[in-house]
Amino acid sequence: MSATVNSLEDEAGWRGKLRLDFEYRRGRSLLTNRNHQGPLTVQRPFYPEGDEVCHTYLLHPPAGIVGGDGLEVNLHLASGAHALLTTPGANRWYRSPRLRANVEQRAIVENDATLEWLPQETLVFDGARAQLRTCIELDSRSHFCGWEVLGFGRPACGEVYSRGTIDFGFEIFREGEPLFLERLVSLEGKIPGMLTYHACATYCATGADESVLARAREVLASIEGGMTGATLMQDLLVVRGLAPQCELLLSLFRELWKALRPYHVGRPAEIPRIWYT
Amino acid sequence: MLDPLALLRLLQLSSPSLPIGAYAYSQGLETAVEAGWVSDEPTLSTWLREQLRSSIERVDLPVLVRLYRAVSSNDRRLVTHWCWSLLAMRETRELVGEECDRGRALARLLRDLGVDDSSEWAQRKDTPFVAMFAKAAVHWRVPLEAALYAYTWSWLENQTLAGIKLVPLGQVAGQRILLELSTSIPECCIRSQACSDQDIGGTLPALAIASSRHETQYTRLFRS
Repeated sequence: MSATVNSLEDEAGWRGKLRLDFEYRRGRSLLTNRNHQGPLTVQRPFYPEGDEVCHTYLLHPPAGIVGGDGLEVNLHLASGAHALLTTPGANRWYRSPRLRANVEQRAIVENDATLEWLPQETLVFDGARAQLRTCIELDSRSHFCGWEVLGFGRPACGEVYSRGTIDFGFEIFREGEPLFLERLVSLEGKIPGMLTYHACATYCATGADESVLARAREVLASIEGGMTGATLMQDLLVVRGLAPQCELLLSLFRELWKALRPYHVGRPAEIPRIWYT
Repeated sequence: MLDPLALLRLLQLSSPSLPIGAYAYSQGLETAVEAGWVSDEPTLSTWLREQLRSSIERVDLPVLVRLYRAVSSNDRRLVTHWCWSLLAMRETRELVGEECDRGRALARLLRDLGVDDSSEWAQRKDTPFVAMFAKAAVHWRVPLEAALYAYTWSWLENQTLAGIKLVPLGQVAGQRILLELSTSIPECCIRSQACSDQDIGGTLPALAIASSRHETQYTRLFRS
């Protein structure tokens, strides 16, 4: 098969691997190990809310993923560590006529450790062939709060996602047993269950109860635009949204997180500075 | 040809008259109608087709295949594994609740009919309907493939009935939807049998949101 000239595909693709270890020592959450190969890396951690919470920005300088790429992120939070991870900008998945791109994000969160996984949006261009798996492994007393925000096509330019293959999984396990398994898979080139919208998103947080669910519903009701729903799966708060564009869902989830963080992790929200830029 | 007695048992198991209250659940459709997402025959047909292809084919049926085999070989560890996986794939509290309410109802019925070790399932809180359907099918020697068709048909019939009641639509429209959608059931069943463990899973954002919002919907005829 001859190489396609009008795409950015490369048989070799980018291979990137990043491993981060967080540990809690003498009252401080430390990034004790960072191991990276290829384009994925992190900035030096920040401590805007004191020693206990390590804020870390994941960087992917190419800022775009094409067919053949394979990226792997592994996070390990040892007992007691608290890390907040975010990204400086949207991730983009470009059109890939032949090869599939693959991103695996895995986090192991030990007992009494807390992971806040708050990335910016993922934009999936029409024709992208992509597999994304986010897998969170919790222990019986681990805490997690995180989201995935996905935008399909470029609605601003009239581009609708209609001819790709995507398989996006968001999975949470507790003590090895599945707690929440979400999987968005394209159907005949399109994304099913989107109604007339182009963006969808899921927000999850452990340690929730009826009062957190009620508070989440209050916050959601106070914000206009998009269509949202909140539910509780055991102690996991699950909020989903559909909207014309993903910026709307991202700002909605930030508002939700600001309101709920005291319940999730017992701290007021400390907004990562990079969100303002 | 299917063993005649197995066929009759299967018809009984998938009949709307089976006393497990399947008619009481709409799986978010009640909210979808209230929100105007489903408002006529074409939109109802699209809603159900997406659910058939993304949920039934990718979740219910592949899990039913595995539970049928695990029940047949009496592998309790695998049965538990697939029960828990299934509940983690149900998108909302109401859908988990529906799965387990119907599961317990069928377990009680099987217990009262004298089917082996169904009383334990009748008492548990996390008994999925799919597991009890598999158990009944194995007990009555219904071949796996026939059980897949019957499961899918009975889902489609229930949801179509809920749809024509909610929109509302006429009986003929309902029959047209059944005819149209059942055409793709054989392919769904074939694909679901080829589905690997890693490929199981399918979520519809609109269905998950509809079902979440149903929990607080003001007037409701249905339990999900």
